[in-house]
Amino acid sequence: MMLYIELFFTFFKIGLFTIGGGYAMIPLLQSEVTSKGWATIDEIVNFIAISESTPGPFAVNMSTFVGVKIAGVLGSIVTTIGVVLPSFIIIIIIAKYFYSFKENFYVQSSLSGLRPAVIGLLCSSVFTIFVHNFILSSEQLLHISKFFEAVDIRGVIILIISYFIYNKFKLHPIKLVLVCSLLGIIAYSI
Amino acid sequence: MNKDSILYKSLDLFKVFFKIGIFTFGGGYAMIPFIQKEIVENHGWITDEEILDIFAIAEATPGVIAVNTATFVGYKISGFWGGFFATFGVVLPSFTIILLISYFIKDFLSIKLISYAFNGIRAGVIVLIIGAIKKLSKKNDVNVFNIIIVILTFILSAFTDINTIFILIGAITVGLSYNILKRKKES
Repeated sequence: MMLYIELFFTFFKIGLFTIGGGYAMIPLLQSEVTSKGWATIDEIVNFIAISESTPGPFAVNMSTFVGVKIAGVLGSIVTTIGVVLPSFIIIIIIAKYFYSFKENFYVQSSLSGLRPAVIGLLCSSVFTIFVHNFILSSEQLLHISKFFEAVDIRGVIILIISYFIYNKFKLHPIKLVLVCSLLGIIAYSI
Repeated sequence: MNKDSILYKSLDLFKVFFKIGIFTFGGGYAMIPFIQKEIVENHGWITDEEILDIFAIAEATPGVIAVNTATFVGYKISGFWGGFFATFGVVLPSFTIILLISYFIKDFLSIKLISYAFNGIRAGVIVLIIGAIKKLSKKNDVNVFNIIIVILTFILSAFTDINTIFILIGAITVGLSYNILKRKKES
């Protein structure tokens, strides 16, 4: 029972602080879920990849994934309601009373701090995911001769290639996921 | 059933947002054109100007854009229950699909070829997040205030154990204080 309550409040928090789009949820979800031992970074990255490729709001997909992993169907219901509830409540209040919400000085001021903060947090997520996945051993990194053992070269190459392809061809995220899976199969089978 | 009744409209909202929920891939921003087509063009429930306002608010408020928009549109059209059924509709497809996928995921990932594919996809995820960073950065001015906050939050988040929520609360506080002080200075 306690677990469900904890899941609910954690995802309520996540839903409350996700501003500016689904991706903004990633840093917060990452820190909350890994610190509670509910999922590893690898699992989270897999969830992100699948959530990107399946229909529906990204944040809802992610919550469902973590919820079902920790506590089955009931867990996923609890996490999904948790992440959706803050939006729902806040919007109903806003729609009812504050149509000039976006002009409000205090709201604007808070957002002026939040928007760059979200960018900083996303950069931190990229950094953490990169280090976790592609830097295999930090001690060996400092030795030039051992450099290639310390870094997952194949992963980095895929990263560079997919970055260029994504930006050159303005790929839809799903196509990017498909391209990367192909590159992954090729690169790691060799 | 009376066409104007709340129940009828709410069920209609549920159907429309269920469709939107099924057919949009890739997150909230991708939903925007779809929502506009269904809500403004096909149903005429809201005008184009109103939808822009709604998106702006949906983006500036906590939570998922898709959910915010669904709740807002639903509420405008049919009160609380409109908001409820629209939100329920947009959330249900993804919830169900993910539930199904999650039951097969362990077996799915243990297939060697699939795990190689996911190694590649991990790199793709990084590219996608970088893309989101770039998109969000375009929406913000490049000034000292913003740059300092970006760098500070990056360092605090990547290299310390400080809870992310505290970092965000800190950012809100900084934003509020800075603007309040600025306003005082100007008056």
